[in-house]
Amino acid sequence: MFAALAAPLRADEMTAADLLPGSSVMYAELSRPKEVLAVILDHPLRQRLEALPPYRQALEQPDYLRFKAAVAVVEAQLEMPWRKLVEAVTDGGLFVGVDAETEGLAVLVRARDAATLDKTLQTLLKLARDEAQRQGQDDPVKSGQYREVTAYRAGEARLAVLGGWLLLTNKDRLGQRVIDNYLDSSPQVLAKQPAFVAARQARDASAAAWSWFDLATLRTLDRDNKLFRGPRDNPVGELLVGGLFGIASQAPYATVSLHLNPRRARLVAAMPLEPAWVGESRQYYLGPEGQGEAPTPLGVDGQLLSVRTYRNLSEMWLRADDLFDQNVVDQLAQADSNLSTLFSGKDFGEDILGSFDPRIHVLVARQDFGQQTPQPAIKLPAFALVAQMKDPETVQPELRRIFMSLVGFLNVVGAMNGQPQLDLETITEGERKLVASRFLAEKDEQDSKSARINFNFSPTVGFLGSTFVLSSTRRLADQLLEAAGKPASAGNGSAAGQSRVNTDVQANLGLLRDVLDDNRQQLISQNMLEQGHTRAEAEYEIGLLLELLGLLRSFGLQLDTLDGQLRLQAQLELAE
Amino acid sequence: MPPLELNELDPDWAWSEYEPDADQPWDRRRVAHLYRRAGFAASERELREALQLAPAELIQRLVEPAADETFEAQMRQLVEATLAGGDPARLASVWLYRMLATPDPLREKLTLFWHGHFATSAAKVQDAQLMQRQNAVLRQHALGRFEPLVQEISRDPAMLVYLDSDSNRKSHPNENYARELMELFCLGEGNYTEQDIRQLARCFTGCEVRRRSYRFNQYQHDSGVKTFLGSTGAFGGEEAVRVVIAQPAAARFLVRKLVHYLVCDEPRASDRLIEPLAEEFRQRDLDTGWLVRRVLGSQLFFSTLALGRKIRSPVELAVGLLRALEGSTNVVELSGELGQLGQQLFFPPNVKGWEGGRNWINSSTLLGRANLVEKLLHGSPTRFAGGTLADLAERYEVATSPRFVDWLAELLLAVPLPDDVRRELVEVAEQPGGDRDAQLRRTLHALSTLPEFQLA
Repeated sequence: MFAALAAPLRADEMTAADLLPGSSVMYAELSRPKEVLAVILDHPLRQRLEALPPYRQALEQPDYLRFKAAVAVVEAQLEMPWRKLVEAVTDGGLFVGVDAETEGLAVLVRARDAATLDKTLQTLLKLARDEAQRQGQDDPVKSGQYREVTAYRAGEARLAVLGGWLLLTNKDRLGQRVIDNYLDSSPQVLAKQPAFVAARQARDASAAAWSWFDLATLRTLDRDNKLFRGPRDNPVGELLVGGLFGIASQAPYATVSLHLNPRRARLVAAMPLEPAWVGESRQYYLGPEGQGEAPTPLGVDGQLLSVRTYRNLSEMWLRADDLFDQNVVDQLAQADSNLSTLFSGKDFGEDILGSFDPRIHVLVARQDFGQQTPQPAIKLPAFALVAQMKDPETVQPELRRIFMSLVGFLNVVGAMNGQPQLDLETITEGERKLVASRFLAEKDEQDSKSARINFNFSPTVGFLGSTFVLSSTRRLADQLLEAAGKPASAGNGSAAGQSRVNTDVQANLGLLRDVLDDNRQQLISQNMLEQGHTRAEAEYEIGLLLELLGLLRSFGLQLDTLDGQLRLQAQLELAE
Repeated sequence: MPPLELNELDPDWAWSEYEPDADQPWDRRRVAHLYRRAGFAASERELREALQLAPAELIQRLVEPAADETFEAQMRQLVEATLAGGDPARLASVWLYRMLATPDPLREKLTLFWHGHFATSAAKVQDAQLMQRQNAVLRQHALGRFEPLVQEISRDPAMLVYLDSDSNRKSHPNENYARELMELFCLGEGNYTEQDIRQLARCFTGCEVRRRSYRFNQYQHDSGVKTFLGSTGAFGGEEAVRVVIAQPAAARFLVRKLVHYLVCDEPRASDRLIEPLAEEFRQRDLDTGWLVRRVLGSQLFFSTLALGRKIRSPVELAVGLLRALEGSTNVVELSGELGQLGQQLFFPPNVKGWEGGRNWINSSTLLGRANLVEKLLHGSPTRFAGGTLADLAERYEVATSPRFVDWLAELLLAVPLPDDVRRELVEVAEQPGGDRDAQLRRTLHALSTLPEFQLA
C-alpha cells in the first residue's frame, strides 16, 4: 500500500492537479471539451441563431473574416478541420490554475497524442513567425531549454510541450515548477492538498466544468479583510448575498461546477457548511444553525416570477450595527424614525417587521386585461408579498388600519397632483378578508385603452388565518388567498437526504417575453428615441429582442443546504 | 444694391422679391442659408435638389410641403407612447426626434418660435398631456392666421395654469394673462396702460381649468362693460382678443419679432423698415404663413445683411448639425444636453421665453457647445444616414481632406471659412491616428469649435 502511494506517477497517469503546485489557490477544469463543443455547436437552436440577420452581419465583419482566414490556413497546414483539431488537442481536457506563490496563471491542455500536439504548436509558431516576417518585424517567438524541455516565449506567454500536455503560463517560475512536477513527480502538488482532495471527492462527475477555490489561503492573503466582509455599505446587497459572505469567511474552500445539456445550463457553487459557522449576525439570513427554510410555493395564473426566501427582516433591521458601516446605520436609523411615524408610532423593526414570520414569498404575474377598460397604455405585471403573521388577531386590525390610512394619504397627494382617486372596499368571504382599492376613472378615461399607468394597480391587502397578502392588484390578492387556503402540498424537501431550500427564485422567461410584447409600442418608441432609429428599424430591433427571448424558457436560482454543503444553483432552461 | 446698415435700407427694396444676380447669386451658400432659417439645415441631397428649383419655387415647397400622413401617424404613436409615461421632460426628446426627421422643417422652426413666444414651462404645469396639447396647437397654427392661434392660447389649459389663470373669478380678476397678452404676445411694452390691463383682465374672468380641460364658468365671468385700448363693450375673452390684435401695434410687433427670428438678431429693425410689411400683414388678416413666405423670399433675406447674422440657439446648433449630415442620435440624452446649454424644450426659463441672440454665447456655453458636438460625434447611437461619417462622405464622393473641409463648410457654416483656418482643418483631417471615420469626426469637432460655427 505504502509502496503504491509513494511510487512516482508515470507521465501518462498524471492529472493536471499532479502538475500544478500545491500553492495553487484556484483550479478549473473542462474535462471533456469535446462534449461541451458538441452541446454548443450541434445545438438545435444554432440554426435559428445563425438565421438571424445580426448573426449574419457579424460574420461579415472584417475582424471575423480575418480570423476565419487564419483558421483556414491552420486547417490547411494541419490537414484537419478546426473542430477536429480542437477536439484532438483538448481530448484529455483543459485545465487552469492560479498559483499564490508565483502569482502566476497556468493553462494545461492534454492532447489525444503528443505528435498532434507538437505539430499543432509548431504550426502555430511558424504562422506567427511568417506573419511577423511578412510585416518586417522581429521573430516574435523566443525559445530556450529548461532541464530537457524546450520552452517558447511569445509576448507574455510561455509555452512548452510535456509529452501529451501543452503548458501555457505567464510566469517563468510557475512554468518551471510545473515542469519540475512533471519530471520529478513532486509531493508538493495540488493533488496532494487535503482541501482539494476533499472537494474533488465530492465533485459531481457529470459536470462539464468544475473549479475549486482555496478560501482559507485567499483569506490569509486578504490582509485588509475586505474580500469576505460582505456588502457593508449596501443593505439590499446584504439581504441578497450577505449570508454567503458569512459562510465564505469560514469555509476552507468553494467549488463551482457547470452542467450542460442541450436543454439547460446549470451552474452550482458550493461551500462546506458547519452550523457553528452561521454567526449571530447572519442568523437572520440562514436561520439558527442554518436551518432557515423558504415557505412552500403558491402558484397563480401567469406567474412571471416567484421569490421564496427565509429572511428574518426584523432581526436584520435590529442588527444593523453589526452588519453595516456607520453611514448606512445612520440612514437606517433615519428611515426607522420616518417609518415609525408612518406606522402610527409603532417601532418599525420590532413591532412591524417583527410581527411576521421570516418566511417570505414574493410573486410577480402578468396581467391579462382582456377587453376591460380603462386599460393602461403601459401594462405592468402585478406583484404581491405573502407573509405569515405571528399573532393574526392583534396584527390584522393594525395592518388593515395602516393600509386604509395609506390609501387616504395617497388620495390626498393624488388630488393635489391631478391623479385619479382610489376607492376603498372591504370584503369578507368566509375566512378571507380583503381591503381592496381601485382607481376611479374620469368620464373621458372610462373606455380608454391607453389610460394612465395608475390603472395597472388596485392595491389590496388580504388576510386568511395567519396568511397576509399585500398585492398591487385585487385579482392577484384573490388568487393568492385562494392558493393559501388549499391544503399544503409536500413540504420543501427538508427530510433527511433532501435539500433545505433557503431561497428559491423562478422566472418564466416565456411569460417575460409576453409581458414585453404587451408593451411593444412603448419599447419601439423608447428604441426610436434612445437609439435614433426609424420606426422600421426600431420595430425590427424589438422584434429581434423578443425573438431571442423566445428561445429561453425559464431561469431559476436556488440557495439550499444539503449534506453539510451550502449550494447556490443557477439554471437556465431553453425553449423547445 | 450695395449692402448698407439694416435700418438704412430702402424698405421697398428690402421686401421686394429676391432676384438672383452676380452679387447675390442663387448658389449652394444661399440655399443652405434658406434651409438654416426656414428649418435647421440642408443636407447634401436637399442642396442638390434645391438648386434645380427657382428660389420662389423652393420657398413655396418649404411653406407648403406635401402632406406626409405616414410620418404624422408615426409621430402620433410616439407621442402617445411617451405620454403613457407621464414625464413632461420626455416630451422634449419626442420633439427633437420630430425636428430631426420631419419633412416639414419650417413648421417645426415656427413651432419653436411660438413655443418661445407663448412661453409655458412644464416645470410649473407638471402635466405632460397639457404641454403636448399646447405644442400641437402651436404646430397646427404655426403658419396660419394669428388670431385663431391667440384665441386657442387664451383657452389653453397649460398656459392658464402657467400664468395662474386657471381659476379666474370676477371678484378677483387675475391680471397675469391680460398683461402678458398685451406685453409679450401681441403688442409689446408701451402700447397699453395699467388701466387697460385691469379692464382686459375682467374680460377673462370665468376662465377655469378643470380636469385638464378649459371651462368657461359664466357665473364667475364679469359681464359688465369694459373699456380698454379705445374700445368699449361687454367683452368676453374672445372679443377681447380681437380688440387687442386689431391694434396697429400688433402687426408691427409680430413682424419685427419674426424678422429678427428669420433674418438677423441685430440691430433692432426700425419702424421705417418694418411698417410697410406690417401694413400688408394687416391687410392679409395677420396671416403668418404669408408673412413668413414674404420674408424668406425677400432681397433682404438673401443679402449680406442676413447671411450669418444670427447666433444659433442650442437646438438649432444640434438639430442643424444632425440634419445637415442626415444624422440620428439618442434624443433623450440630447435633450438633457440642450438643457445644460440653456434651451430645454418645454422648459423655457420664464414667461418671456429664451432671449436668444448674443445671450446664447458666453465662455461657459461656448465650451459646452463644443462638448455637445463631441458627445454627438462619439455617442454610440449617432449615425449619419444610417452609417458612419466616412460612409456619408463616400456616398457624396467627398474623397479628399480639403474637399471634406470645404463640404462641411458649405453645409454647416453661414460665413466663408478663412483660408488659414481652412488649412488648419485640412491638417487636422490628415493627422494620423484612428481610421478615416475618426479623422473626419475629429475634423468636424474642430470645425464646431470655431466662432463661425456659432452663426446661422
